[in-house]
Amino acid sequence: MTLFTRVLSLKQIFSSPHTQHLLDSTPLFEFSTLVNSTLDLKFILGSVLLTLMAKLRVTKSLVLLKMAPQATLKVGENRFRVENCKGIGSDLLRKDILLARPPKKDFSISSAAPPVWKVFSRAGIRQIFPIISHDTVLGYFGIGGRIDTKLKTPRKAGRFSSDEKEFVDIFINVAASAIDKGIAFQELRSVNRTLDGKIQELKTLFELSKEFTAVVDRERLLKLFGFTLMGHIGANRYAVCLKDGGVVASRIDTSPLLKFKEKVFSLVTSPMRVADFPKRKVTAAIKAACEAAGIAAIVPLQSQNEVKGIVCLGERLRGSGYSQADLEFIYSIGNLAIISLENSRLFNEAIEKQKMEDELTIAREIQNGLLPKSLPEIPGFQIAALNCPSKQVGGDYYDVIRTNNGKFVLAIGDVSGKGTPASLLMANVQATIRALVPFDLPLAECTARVNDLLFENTNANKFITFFWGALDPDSRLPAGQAGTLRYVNAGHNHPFVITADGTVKRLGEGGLILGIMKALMPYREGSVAFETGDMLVLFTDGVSEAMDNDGNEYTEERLESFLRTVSSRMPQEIISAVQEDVARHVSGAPQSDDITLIVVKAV
Amino acid sequence: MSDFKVSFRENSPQGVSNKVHIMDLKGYLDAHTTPHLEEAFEKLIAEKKYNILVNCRDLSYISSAGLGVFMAFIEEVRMNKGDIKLSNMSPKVFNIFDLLGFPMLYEIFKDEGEAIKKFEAKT
Repeated sequence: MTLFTRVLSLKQIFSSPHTQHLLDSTPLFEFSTLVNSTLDLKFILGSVLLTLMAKLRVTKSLVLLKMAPQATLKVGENRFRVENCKGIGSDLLRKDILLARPPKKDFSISSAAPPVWKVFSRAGIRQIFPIISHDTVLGYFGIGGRIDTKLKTPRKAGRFSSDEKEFVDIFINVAASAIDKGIAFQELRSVNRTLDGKIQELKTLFELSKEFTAVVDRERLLKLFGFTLMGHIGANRYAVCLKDGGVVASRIDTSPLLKFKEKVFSLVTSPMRVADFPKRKVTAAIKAACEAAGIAAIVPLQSQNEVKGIVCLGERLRGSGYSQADLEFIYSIGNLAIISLENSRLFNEAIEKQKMEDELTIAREIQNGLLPKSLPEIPGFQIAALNCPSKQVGGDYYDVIRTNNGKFVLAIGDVSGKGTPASLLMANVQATIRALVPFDLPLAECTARVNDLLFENTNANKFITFFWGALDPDSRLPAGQAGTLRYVNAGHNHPFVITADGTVKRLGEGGLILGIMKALMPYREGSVAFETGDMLVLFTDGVSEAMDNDGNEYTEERLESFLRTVSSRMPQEIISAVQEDVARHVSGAPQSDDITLIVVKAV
Repeated sequence: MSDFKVSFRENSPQGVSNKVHIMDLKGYLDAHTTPHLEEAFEKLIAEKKYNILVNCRDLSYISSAGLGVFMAFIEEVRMNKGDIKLSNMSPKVFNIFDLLGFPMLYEIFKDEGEAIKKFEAKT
């Protein structure tokens, strides 16, 4: 209705004697000014209701407003909600009704009202008036429960005369534009608030991504994630459970849920309210566990399309549930967090690795420092040695020491363990041996002393396989005889002696591995005489146990038969040949233990 | 780098047995500075000071992480018959509290005095 026609009909009403009583005391224009002076929808609706009730002498009134369209509605359906009501209790407040075709004319809702209106007629509402602005139905006013002593029959009491109805129409028309503006303002305010909320979310995301990149401390990351979570959703119960890290942050007891850990991880691939869990047998138990733990929603933590963890959320303190948007937001910050947690793990691993590398470098340096820089010349003999440390740095040790009376002590050993601890133990052994050699004590006795010293000064799990011998190159011997080796083997791989005619002897005489227990039995001493062309081969298990990719060892048997084929060569060549043969065997597999070889040949 | 400071005061008018412990927040409370507020709460709670009033007069910004700190401690404080109340917020800071629904969870006062009176009324 245009303003012009509205004014025309107002004029008619003014001139009609029937409606005079409605208008004489009604400052209609004053009312118009009042409702149009504010954008407060609540105030406007309240004023209209009260004025209608006063003017028409009714005790019940309500107002319905059309709600914003929702995805759940069918096409053409309109939802109206009771925004305010007076005189009918609060049961109907916020009640929704659905109308396919919202009526544009006022109508009575006595007994014959369409079912949808019944609920209002039962509450005593008798007449419904549409609120129309720009030809669109904004909502409805309903009135009823008239008190009028002049009308005796109750049937008539509910009825409104056509003049009255027209008055209400005009009255509502005057208010309609104010209501329209009020609705628009309210919508704008809610849009603004939603926007503010989105801005806050973006700020939080930005801030977190900035902070998460700078923080590598896992505890701090989790705390920050937790605070943001609690602050943003207004809950103080949550738990973070990682796929391969267990429960890492917990303000909720997740133990009922953890029984189903694997299933939960495969179930929750997107944020989910516990109430929305698919209705399947498997999930029923999980759902019950969540409810027992007070978990209202679960959000997955994903990185590279893989669920790496979950966040369990307790109820929000302010009572409202989690909206899809809330969960999506938690999902975003959760994914930021999990990436940072992963990075922090990788970073710490890299540091650990660096530490290990540094330690290995130290171990290698110690070991290098212990091995002889050059080998002494032994009259009548040729000698060559090889030490090839593995990446891990094992505990191989060898030494060749000239004694004061012209003998040569050859020593080879394998210390248990790897890395720095093995190197340090090796240093100990070397120091002990070097300290004992000048005294020219019998080897067996010396071995017992070394054993006891090591046993007293190391843990029981530290031990050494050790072989040593004192070679006496005696030039006074008749031609063809080069000298004698007296030796003690303390649990080391038996060295080979391969004579010029191809006979192989193994040097096993001795006793227990060093460092395991105090020497109760004396070590036995062995002795072997060398003739020209005979050679002694000392080796560690790094040679005999060198493995190919299938785990096959090189073996002492292969070493022995290979040594026979190269026995005519000089020590340095023999060492190179063995090294090559071992390399052929492992065919590219990484070296897992130190390789040490000493070859001494009587020439 | 953003700057944030917490300082402590006590309000103990005569005749009031229950002291109100006032925290003055100053500056920018974001993800980076949140640990300071956490420490401040931990300190008061360790000293069994549960009547906590947070004066936000000089607080220029608060992020979700900052709000989370209040959530983290409120339960323990209320279990010990205390409360965390807030006062003197700038409209900008209040807007953030309001957006995230905090006025439903915490009492927020325009003025420190009103908040203290509320604490006193309780005792």
